[in-house]
Formats: sequence, C-alpha cells, structure tokens
Amino acid sequence: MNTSPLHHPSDADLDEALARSFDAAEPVPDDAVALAYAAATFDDLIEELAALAFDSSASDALVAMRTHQSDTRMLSFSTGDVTIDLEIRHHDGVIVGEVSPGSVDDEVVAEAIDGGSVTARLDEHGRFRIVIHDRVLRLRIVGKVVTPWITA
Amino acid sequence: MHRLPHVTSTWPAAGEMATLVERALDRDQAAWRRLVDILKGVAWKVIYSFDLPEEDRKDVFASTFFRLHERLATIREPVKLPGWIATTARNEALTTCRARQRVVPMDDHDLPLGSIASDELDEAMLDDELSVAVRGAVRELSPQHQALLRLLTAEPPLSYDEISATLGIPRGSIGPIRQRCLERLRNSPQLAAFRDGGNRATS
Repeated sequence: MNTSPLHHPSDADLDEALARSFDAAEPVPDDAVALAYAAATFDDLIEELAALAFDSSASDALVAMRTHQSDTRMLSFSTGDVTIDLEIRHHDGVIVGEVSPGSVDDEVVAEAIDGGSVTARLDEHGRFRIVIHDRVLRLRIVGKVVTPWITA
Repeated sequence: MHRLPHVTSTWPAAGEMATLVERALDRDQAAWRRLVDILKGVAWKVIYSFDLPEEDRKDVFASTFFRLHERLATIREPVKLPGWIATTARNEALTTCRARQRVVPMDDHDLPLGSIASDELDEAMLDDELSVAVRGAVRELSPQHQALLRLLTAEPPLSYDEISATLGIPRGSIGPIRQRCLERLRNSPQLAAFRDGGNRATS
C-alpha cells in the first residue's frame, strides 16, 4: 500500500479519506432501504392515487423546533375528481375524514404498513371515523381512490 | 454552490430527476427505487448525526421517505430534492428525539447531535490506513463538527446553504470551520502516529 499521503495529507487526501471512512463505517442499513422502497408498493391496487393538496404540518415545519407541535394534523388529498380531507389526532389515533363526493355505499379502509387494517363505511355526508394507532398508513376508498403512505 | 474535490458528477441531471419524479408518480416502482437510491446517502448522513439509537435511525430514515412519497406530487423543483430530503430527515429526527423525550433545545446552534461511538470496529470496515486514522481523529471532534464533516461528504453534494439550514451553522462559518477541522485532523495524534512511525523508520 502506498502510505505517502499519511505523511503530508493534503485537503484533498483528507476529503477523500473522510468520504471513504464515513461511507464504510456508517453504511445505510439494507432493511431501512427496503422500508423506503416499500413506500411505493402499489401492489395490484385498482384505485387512483390521490395527491397531497394540503398539509397543516408543512406550513410550520421550518419553525417546528420553536413551536409546540400540534396534536392534530390536517391533510387533504385529491385526484381532481375526488377529495379526501383528514384530521389525524396523534394522542388517541383517531382519524376523522370526509370524502367528497362520497356515499353510504363507499367503504374506507385504513391500511397500516405492517399489514393491519381497519374498515369503516361513509355516512350520508361522506364522513367517517376510524381509530388506528399505526404511524405509517394509507387510506383506500375501495375501488376509487388511494392515498400515498402517510406518516401520522 | 460549493463542492468538494472528491465529488464526482455521477448524479442525475435535473432533467432526469424530474423524469424520475414523474414516473414515480405514475406508479413506476423502478423509478421510485432509483430516487431512494439517489437520496438515501444524504438522508442517512443527516440522521446519523443525531443522538439516536440505530433502531430509531432506521425508523426516521423510513418515515423520511414516506414523507417524500406522500409529497411527491408537490415537488416543484426535483433538482432540489437532496436539500429537501436533508431538511425532512432533520425534522423527522428532531420529532423522534422529542418523542424519546431527549432534551430538544430551542437554539439551532445546539441540536441533539450524537458523537461517533468509541467502541466501533472501524479497522474491519476500512481498507486503507489513512481512512482508519482519519476516522479515529474525527471521533475526537465535537458532535457538531463530526456532523459538518459528514454532511460535506454527502452525495449528491449539499450546498453550504443546505448544510447551514440542516445543522444551524451560519453559512459563512462552514468554510472556516471545515479548514480548522482538517487542520485538527492533520495534527491529530492518530495521523501523527503514522508520521512519527515513518520518521522513525527512516532515521
């Protein structure tokens, strides 16, 4: 091995050694990467993917360090044709939502990333209430719409 | 934009990033995986800088990418994704630190950053002497300076503005602090041991 850089390492030598040592000693764990890949597991879903239209946690994300985090997160998803408004309460896992347009024939399923799920029916106003304690979940309006995975 | 000399331009151009985001929104899993692969190093380097156990780091890493996926449709400038993922990873790490009831200060200059564990076995992982010596010397720096050096090696590279926003170090201080850190590494006992060893061998 050529050891000459050890005697008088330049900035570039040190930069390279730093990059090598961080990458080799602190590799990204494979199981964490597998979870990240799973964020886009669409399986054989037939529902249309709704896009995030509003997120109450985004507006204060940059000042989150200085503010007391709100217990409730408000989210809105839309496909253009269908809108899903959500209110997620952190302390008791209650999710209150409204789907518009939605009817009593529509079923809503809250799916957790680890495989669990909770099902509810919409009421005549397109509203629903679900209790689920998982941190990462998505909502499906069966046959119509699915949200991306949400970090509650 | 400041870039380190070691950084090679193997990272996708702005147009390719935009295409990957578009394809991922179209439920193209390969495109999503490529986005994760491009950004995972930046996210991990930010998260690794915080004072969290390994299991929590993995959770924070996963939730950072769930955030990205849920917000993919709102990304206006895909070229800024490395900075976006750094900020998001930082915020997710802070949320977890808070949930673990670690002391989360009010001051950006005092983030709950962690120090490299002193009992790790670098030698097994590092295949050249300079890297081993540098790793040992970095361990002696403050957690903030460890984090700064770590983020300066991120790929794709983060700008000084992005590093400043992530670590709360004033932008203008990053260059001078980096220089001081490199000087400390150069003069560290770990690197001096090699130098002295070399001198002894030739005297």
